[in-house]
Amino acid sequence: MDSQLAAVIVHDIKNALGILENELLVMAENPSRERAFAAHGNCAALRDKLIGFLTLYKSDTQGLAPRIEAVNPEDFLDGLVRQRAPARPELKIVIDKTDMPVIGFFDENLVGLALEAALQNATRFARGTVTLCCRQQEGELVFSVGDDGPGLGAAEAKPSTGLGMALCDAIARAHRKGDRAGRAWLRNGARGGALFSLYLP
Amino acid sequence: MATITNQRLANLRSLVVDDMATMRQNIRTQLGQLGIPHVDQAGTPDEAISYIRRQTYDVIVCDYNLNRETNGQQLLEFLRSQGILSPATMFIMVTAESSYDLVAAAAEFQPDAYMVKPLTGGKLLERIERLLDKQAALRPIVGRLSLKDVAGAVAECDVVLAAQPKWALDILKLKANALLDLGRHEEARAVFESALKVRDDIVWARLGVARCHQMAGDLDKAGSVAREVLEMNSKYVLAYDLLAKVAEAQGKEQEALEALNKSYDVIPSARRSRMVGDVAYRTGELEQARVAFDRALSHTKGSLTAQPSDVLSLAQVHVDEGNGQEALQLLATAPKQYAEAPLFVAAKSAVQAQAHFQLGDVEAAQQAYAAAKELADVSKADVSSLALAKAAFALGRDDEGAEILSKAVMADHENPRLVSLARKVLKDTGKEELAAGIVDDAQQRVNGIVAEANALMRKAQFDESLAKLDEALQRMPENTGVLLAAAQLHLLWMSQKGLNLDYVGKVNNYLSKLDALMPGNERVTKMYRFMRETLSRTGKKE
Repeated sequence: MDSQLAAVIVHDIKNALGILENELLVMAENPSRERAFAAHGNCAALRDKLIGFLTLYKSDTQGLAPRIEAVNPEDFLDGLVRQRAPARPELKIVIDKTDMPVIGFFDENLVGLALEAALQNATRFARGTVTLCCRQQEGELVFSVGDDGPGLGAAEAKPSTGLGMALCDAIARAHRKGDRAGRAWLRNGARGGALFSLYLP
Repeated sequence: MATITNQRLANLRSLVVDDMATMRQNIRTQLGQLGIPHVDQAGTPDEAISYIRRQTYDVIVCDYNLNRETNGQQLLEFLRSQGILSPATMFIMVTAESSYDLVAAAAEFQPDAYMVKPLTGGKLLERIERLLDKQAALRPIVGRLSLKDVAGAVAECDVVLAAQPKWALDILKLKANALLDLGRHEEARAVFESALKVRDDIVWARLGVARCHQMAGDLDKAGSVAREVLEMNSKYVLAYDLLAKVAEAQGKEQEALEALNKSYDVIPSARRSRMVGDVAYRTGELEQARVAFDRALSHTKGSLTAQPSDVLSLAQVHVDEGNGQEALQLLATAPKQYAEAPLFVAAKSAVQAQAHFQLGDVEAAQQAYAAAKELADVSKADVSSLALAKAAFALGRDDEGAEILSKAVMADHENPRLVSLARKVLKDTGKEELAAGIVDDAQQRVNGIVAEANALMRKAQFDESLAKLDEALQRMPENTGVLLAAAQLHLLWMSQKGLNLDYVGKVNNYLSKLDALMPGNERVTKMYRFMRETLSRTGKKE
């Protein structure tokens, strides 16, 4: 990981910690259930960032060795969505089951991290809905996360650090089969909004 | 986290194993919030072992980092290899994100799931529910297997496969292994190959094909497929085990030893050291055997996972190397509680007798030998009998040595490991010329008894036939060849003369003994099948 990226990420984490600190201070004076949930959500997001950071660091220093297992993608995605702390309660997260294969081969811990990062990103931009799907395409398993936001290149109030994409890229590349390796893409979706795709051989 | 009430979870008994009290408490709280009220906590591997020995758990959440001696993976290995863990228990291994893939890659005994820290209640809930779904889906197959109805399990696999395609790979694995247990290697191979059609780099299916070649007697092919598996995944230790078995069957003992040594490099565990030590000792590689047993001892020092046989094996190696003094010192440091087991004391005294004799203390040697002889149970195929025979030959009591060794071989005359160790006793004591008179003769005598019983059965002298084997089993209660013959002839009797409840009890008794003596053996599986067929033909249920 280049030191520039590391510095940006640590800076970002420091800021998020500052926000959490503030939330806790406010709550100490004026306790409320809503604020506690919000602080918990921010705390979980911060923790995910740190895990992402450490995984990326590991990928650079010793490499990632995925544990490929046969997993039912529908169960996997259901679980991923269920165990998330909702960042924006008004947002709908939909799992599109069209053409979803019964079995996929991947490391569910690593792919879980990548998709959580992608979900986090999508929930920042989505207007109302984030859509998750998984398909088999030319011998590859493709996970996608689409949102109905403004799409790529939109002005952001708080620009992203690039951690999420770097992490997804590292996890995708760690999935190898023969001489093929996985890859991760972020582009504009056919129906507007951004579309993240993770291709696994 | 909202509190979720779920009847399925409310009945789960769980155990959390972690060396850090705060982490244990944290997981316990998470489980409590999920509605799992029964949560025990263990802070060390030993504590975990005593909890698991006392009761059966549905879920065990175990941290990988436990203490300096034993990690979570080694704890799981001990529990599974000693048969302490119920197959229905869900074992979840928790690792740090930095070590997760390294831990998982070199794991011979797979937990039901690996989870990466930090554990949240949501993640735990999601994983436990998925494991419960899987258990429910596979229950018809696993249920048949637990009743030893392997053929029934194979049939059930096809039913479950059609209804539950998302567990297809798990089902194919169960089915292929069941077919191998039944000795149906051609069908097993077809199942492994159908798994490889789903994805061609599934490592257990590749090795499965090698096992089918091995069973078909094509050892060269089995070896070359196992080597291909290792080229693809150098950490898959089961492939080294297969290579070692193939090499040993081909008489290439050095190759077998080499394969096992490599497997130890991947998984440096007490169990693997022991495997290296056993083969090294049998092939006369004393230095390697010493290093291996020494490692096994240091891996388990002061822990419940320690095994008395390691002390005995190492002491015997010291004697064979001419270091009687070291053998005596080692035996003197054996944990005190071992002295409660007569078989340990017998074997210990037999090794002590050899060591004293080596050091020129004939009186002490005679005393130790007498104590060993008093306690040894030569009707069982135990290492203590072999050590005793060795001591007798060393003390010049050749007749006694011959008698002890002969009984030791007769105790389980078809056990290849026992027979090769018996021959080694004669070689080591310079009595190789006695091998035909003792080892071959003992084998022929037992084979003769079985042949006579078979002949009596053919002549319709049923009761005489069965009495013959019963009498043999009085003298050698753990002889696997005789136990199999006894089971078979009792079943033949019933297929001729109809159901006899006493005999059903007897056959069940033989088979459960065989199960303990040689777990997972193909001949035993076939005998279970023969029993079921016989009982259903005689018109009654078990």
